[in-house]
Amino acid sequence: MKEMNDNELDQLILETLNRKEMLSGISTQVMLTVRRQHRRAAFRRWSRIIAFSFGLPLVVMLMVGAAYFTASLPGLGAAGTPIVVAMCVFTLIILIQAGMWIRWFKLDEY
Amino acid sequence: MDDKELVEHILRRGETDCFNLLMKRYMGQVFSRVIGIVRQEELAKDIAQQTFIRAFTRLASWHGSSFGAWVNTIAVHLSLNELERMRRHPVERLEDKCVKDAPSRCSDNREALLQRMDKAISQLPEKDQRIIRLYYYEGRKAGEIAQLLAMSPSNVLVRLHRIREQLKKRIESNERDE
Repeated sequence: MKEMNDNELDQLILETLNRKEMLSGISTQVMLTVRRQHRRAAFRRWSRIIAFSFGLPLVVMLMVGAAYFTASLPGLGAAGTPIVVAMCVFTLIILIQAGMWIRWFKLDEY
Repeated sequence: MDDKELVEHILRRGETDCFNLLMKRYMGQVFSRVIGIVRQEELAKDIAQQTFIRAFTRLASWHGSSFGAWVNTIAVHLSLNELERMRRHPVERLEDKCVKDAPSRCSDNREALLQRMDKAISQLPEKDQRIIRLYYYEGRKAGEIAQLLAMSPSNVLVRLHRIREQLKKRIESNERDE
């Protein structure tokens, strides 16, 4: 490296400090985006938990309620049996899936 | 904390501020790599920003090898993609034209020199770093610096002279070490 004169050294120091400031600006912008993404991801995770915790029982109740209502309709007889069976099968599938989700649930992700 | 521990803290505990530490370690390297490819400062800033955002989004896919190498790979891919896009749709932006007029700002040698100076400045004591920042970056006079740091103006000037000599020696020794 050729010998640097005073002006060149001053220019280099100034350029380095400007570069440092610029890189710091980039880092700040990245962190704003990162924090926003992190907040959105947390909101989505907790929304899923709430939807699961309240939505699932609601769906099961609707299914069971529909099966009971169908079974209790006067005069429907055997025609209502497929509907009742279908509702019970759907309810069973939902309960099995819910069991699997609960088993896979990882608290440390929250 | 090493890179692996920082990534663990981010992924397991959601401590996103640890990502800031990772960025401080590798931002300079990534920026130098990108500007060496694209040769345009504004574009290099955008790509460096995109690189780290992508690295954060895909952090779970990092398998514990060198974090610097991994993030540099992302930077190179993004830079090459951008060059390809520009090749297909050439558009000369005003700021790019201005930078093209000063090619030495984007040269590899200049980048290497800036990195060496950055390293030399970070090795100075905190008070000395403050003095050069006030003098060069904020453009303050010796008298103002003296008032801010409770020193005499002549003391500030002597110290500035010593700092400059020290920086000159350090960047020369950093060059020899490389």
